[in-house]
Amino acid sequence: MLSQMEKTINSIRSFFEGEGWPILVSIALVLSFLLWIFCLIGIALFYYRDFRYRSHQAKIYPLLRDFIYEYILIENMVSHFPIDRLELDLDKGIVQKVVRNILHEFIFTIGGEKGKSMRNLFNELGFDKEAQYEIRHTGNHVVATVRSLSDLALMKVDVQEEVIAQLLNNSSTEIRVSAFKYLLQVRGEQAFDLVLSRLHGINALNALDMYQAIVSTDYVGTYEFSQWLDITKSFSINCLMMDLMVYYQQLDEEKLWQLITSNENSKTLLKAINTLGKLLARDSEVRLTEFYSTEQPLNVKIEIVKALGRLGQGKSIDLLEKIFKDESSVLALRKHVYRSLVAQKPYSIACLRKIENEVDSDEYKLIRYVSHPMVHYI
Amino acid sequence: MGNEKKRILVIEDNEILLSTMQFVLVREGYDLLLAKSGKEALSLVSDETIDLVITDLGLPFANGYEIIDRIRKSKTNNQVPVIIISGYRDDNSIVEGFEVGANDYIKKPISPSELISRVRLRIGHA
Repeated sequence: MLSQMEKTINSIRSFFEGEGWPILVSIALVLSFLLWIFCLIGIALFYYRDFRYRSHQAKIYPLLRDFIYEYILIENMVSHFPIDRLELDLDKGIVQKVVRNILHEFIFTIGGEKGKSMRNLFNELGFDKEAQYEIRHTGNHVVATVRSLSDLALMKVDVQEEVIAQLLNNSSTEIRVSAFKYLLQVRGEQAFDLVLSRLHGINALNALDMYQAIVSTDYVGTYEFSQWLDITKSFSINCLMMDLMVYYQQLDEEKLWQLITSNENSKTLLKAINTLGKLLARDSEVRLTEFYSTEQPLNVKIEIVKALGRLGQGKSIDLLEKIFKDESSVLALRKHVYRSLVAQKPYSIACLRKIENEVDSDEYKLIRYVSHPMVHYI
Repeated sequence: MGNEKKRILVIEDNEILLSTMQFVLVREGYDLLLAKSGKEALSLVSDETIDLVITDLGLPFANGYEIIDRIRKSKTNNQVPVIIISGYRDDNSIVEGFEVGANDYIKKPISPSELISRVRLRIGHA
């Protein structure tokens, strides 16, 4: 065994002592040369594609703009546009891409009746059929399906129930989220039950996407988002529901307290306390005061103190004062305590005066810092 | 003097929206000044006589709120009506717009006929 190792080491040594180094250097030179070539080809390709897109856009944009102005804005045409006059070769991928992007921009910018006419133009150019075809036939091809669903949502085109069901059961979360967004944009409130019951597997980014999709609809009703809060669900789902509750100002203290007391997920716990504060759950003041304990992690303590500052009506002053006076409390916590006391004026005026009269120089600095108008409050 | 066209300053960085507003308003007979950034807009506000300002909120160099604030504090044109056109749909953005001195707020996507009506409401026909 030892002799074998010695033999190997000797052969390596003789390789480098002989022609080894020059060979190695040559290989390295060739590899770095190839790497540079590939990088340059990549950069050139990127610029070429960009140039190709821009040159097509420069040709197509004036044509399409004038067409829209002439037939939609001047002649008030709603459908049956003379698209042959555009003389666009829509079989070419690049032309399709440019036309689609320009029309998207127009549809995002111009609304009302003219916006509807623009959607009809989009459909008459065949993009709706293409999108419908793609969502049926691309299987798990994420990019094409997501783009097609977004097109269909923008055009408010109806998709068959069986196709929707298929997309909602897709193994790819991205495709499912796109289908959710399509449903929310096209059907609005009617899709809430269907969508919110099937959110399993979404991540924080998907949840943010869904939140944007819901709040940008015209919905202003009284749908109970809190019904979907559940300790067994992931943080992303519960977080989405709590954000929606805050946005639509729907307070459900019991459901939020279930999340807090179950203590299943620390992020969910923090978010639930934060939501209580933002929704000004005044009845939770005493309960939050009782929930506060020195054993809890610092971030939970801070979140409770912040929430008390938002929803407090004087019942938590004693606790806040006690924490502030406890010199073993960390600075970050004491800072939030003081802010919460300030927020609870007029209930806390006497307490604040007492603190101001008793503070030492370090505490005075802290108070000055917290009271400074440039320091963002909570 | 009485036959002079009403002059509107349109501040918008989106090429499509800018050209569409230009097309729609010029067709209605208004005279237009165009600016694609806050900087351009502010120099026009100080140099030209303007009857109405239509501005976006998200603009390079100075945002819409800053522009309105500067208009209201300027020596000339401080009484000019201002219409905000923005994609921000939340209450805070709208309220802040009115607080800095805007007279109207239109949410994107805009309807050309609604835009014309609101312009006429502020400064009358061209």
